[in-house]
Amino acid sequence: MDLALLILSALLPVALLLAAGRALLPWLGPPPQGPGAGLAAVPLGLLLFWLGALGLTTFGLPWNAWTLLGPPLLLALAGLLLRRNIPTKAPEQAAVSSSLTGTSNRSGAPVPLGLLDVLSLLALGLHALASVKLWATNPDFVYHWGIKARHGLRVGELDLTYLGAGAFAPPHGDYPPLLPALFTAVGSLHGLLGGDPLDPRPWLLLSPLCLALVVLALRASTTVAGSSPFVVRGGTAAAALLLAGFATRHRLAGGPDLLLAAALSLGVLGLLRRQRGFSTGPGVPPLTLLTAALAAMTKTEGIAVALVLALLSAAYLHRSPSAPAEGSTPRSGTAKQLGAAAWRGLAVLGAALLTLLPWLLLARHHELFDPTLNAGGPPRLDHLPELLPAAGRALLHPHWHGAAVLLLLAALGALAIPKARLPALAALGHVALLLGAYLTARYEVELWVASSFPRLLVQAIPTAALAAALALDHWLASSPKAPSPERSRLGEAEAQS
Amino acid sequence: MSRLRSTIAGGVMVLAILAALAISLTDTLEARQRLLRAQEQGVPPSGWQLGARQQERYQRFLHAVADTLPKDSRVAVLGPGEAPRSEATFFLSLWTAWHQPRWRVLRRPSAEGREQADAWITYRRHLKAPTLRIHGLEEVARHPLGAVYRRAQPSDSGLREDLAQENPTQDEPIQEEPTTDGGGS
Repeated sequence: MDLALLILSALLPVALLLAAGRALLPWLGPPPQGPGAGLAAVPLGLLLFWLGALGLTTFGLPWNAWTLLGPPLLLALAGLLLRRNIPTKAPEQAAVSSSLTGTSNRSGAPVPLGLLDVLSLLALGLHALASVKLWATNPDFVYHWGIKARHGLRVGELDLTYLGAGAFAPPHGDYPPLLPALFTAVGSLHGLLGGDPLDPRPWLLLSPLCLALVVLALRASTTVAGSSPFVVRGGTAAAALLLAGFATRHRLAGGPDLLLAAALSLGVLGLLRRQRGFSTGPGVPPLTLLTAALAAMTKTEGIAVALVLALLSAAYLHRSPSAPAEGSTPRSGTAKQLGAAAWRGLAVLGAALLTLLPWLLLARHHELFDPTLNAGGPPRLDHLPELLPAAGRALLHPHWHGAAVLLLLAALGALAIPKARLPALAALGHVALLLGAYLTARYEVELWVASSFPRLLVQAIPTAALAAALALDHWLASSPKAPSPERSRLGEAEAQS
Repeated sequence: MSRLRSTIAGGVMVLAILAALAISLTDTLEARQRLLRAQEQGVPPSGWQLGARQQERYQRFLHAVADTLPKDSRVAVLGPGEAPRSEATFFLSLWTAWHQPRWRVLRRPSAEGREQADAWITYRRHLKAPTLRIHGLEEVARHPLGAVYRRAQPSDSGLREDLAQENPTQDEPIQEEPTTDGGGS
């Protein structure tokens, strides 16, 4: 009974946010179809939640289950009612539902769940078990993320005076409060259902849910990329097991890193879907825009995720089948394409920064920024002799069992394979940006890298695993298949890239 | 040639799945063992984790003395006998903030910060009269595992000095109890 209550307290808010996101999804553009289309509901639901939580804080209103989850509940109900009254939306909903559970084969048709998918579920189950048993609790969950939520639950709001109390404030008061808001919502709901609102176990169960999001994104991405069912299921299972093991052993439950991993994976999925013709329309796919926003509201490193997605959006989307200027490259067309690429990049970055802006203004007003932080100095290349060996040691951290190095090397090799290039660039680009951030250290580069880089790698490793899986799929395809006209055109576009 | 390539790629995938399965299972077991190891005596606050006995004992101590200080009190924490800026005191402060979110806990222990605090909490340590007089403190709660001291008056600036420079034997360290726990308080 206790366990059921814990699970319900964690699942119900997530389900509400998902339902609210799904209710709003049709407003963002053409009906989403194909593998992973419905996943955009997750960042959209979280974006609504984020804006609601910040709105409450701005107007001095309380944070609790009713105020934080009430608006998503109303939106979800409104979405249900509207759907009932508009029968023409039914096929779109079917596409969204199937995309959350199923995937497709080389031509985009769904791949049914198989035995290897049981291993993905086992991975999620193991991490859920470790999370609820407190074996995998992230130290920073205790040291600041959770402290803010517990204080919020005690006083019934996000107390910015508390966060800005100088030496008497918890660490990192300036970090975006998405996680504390989620923990507050889950804890408050747990209290309403008869549990202890301050019990951290239901909060920690959000961690396997973030991992589930990564797994769904990887499965959808391999499908979208036209991989064989063996690679779709096996690649996803291998990545899920590896990530579950690392998330448990390195104690990531309650921290933001799995959510950032999900953001990068989902953002890449959005780009792959557009590249493969599963989503149409001008500009950046809503899924990629929303995940850039999600990354920014999760933690500082989310800006790096958004930057990678912005660069890839700028570089890749002009080759999408929907791009009108495909194939014709006169000088004026090139200038136009460059301009469009810049706009796409700026759109992704803009989505991230606009999402973060209200919080930055609040944090500045309440003087939450900590000038003693190690990061944020001017970049110094003379840190490199310390940084590179430390990063090498971090890559070989025993909790990764060598997988971080292998997968990043695989991603490097996958750059040569057109269908794996996009995720490979995303993974390597994100790692490069993370390393670049260490150049801004004010002191103790080596210690900083050692204490954080092995953990931060988890943000990029799922995308590196995706690149590796797509590369393997390329090698597995032993006999060339007769491509459809559409796929032939895509192949040409990839070869150009 | 293409068949060989295909076989190798398939083999790599199967190996990757098996290796990841082994990693996942052993890592889960190892995480469980780590929590068991964290129950051992003498683990410093930097090694505490949720579910471990050491921090649960500290939680019970804080719970026992919590009512002696009002909400939003500015609290400084002193660990057992170490220098006030020590790593143990730093992590003890964070655990205090976790367990008592209604207080404002001095995050980075410093002599200056402590003098701004409304109250001091000592763990595994009791302060003696000379120390209390120097810092303008009075005892408001005494517990077998520590004590709470409230600021009675501004500390004497002429006498104020960093506790790191004091002779630790002036105060009474509380020896760690056996690990059988049994409540601790």
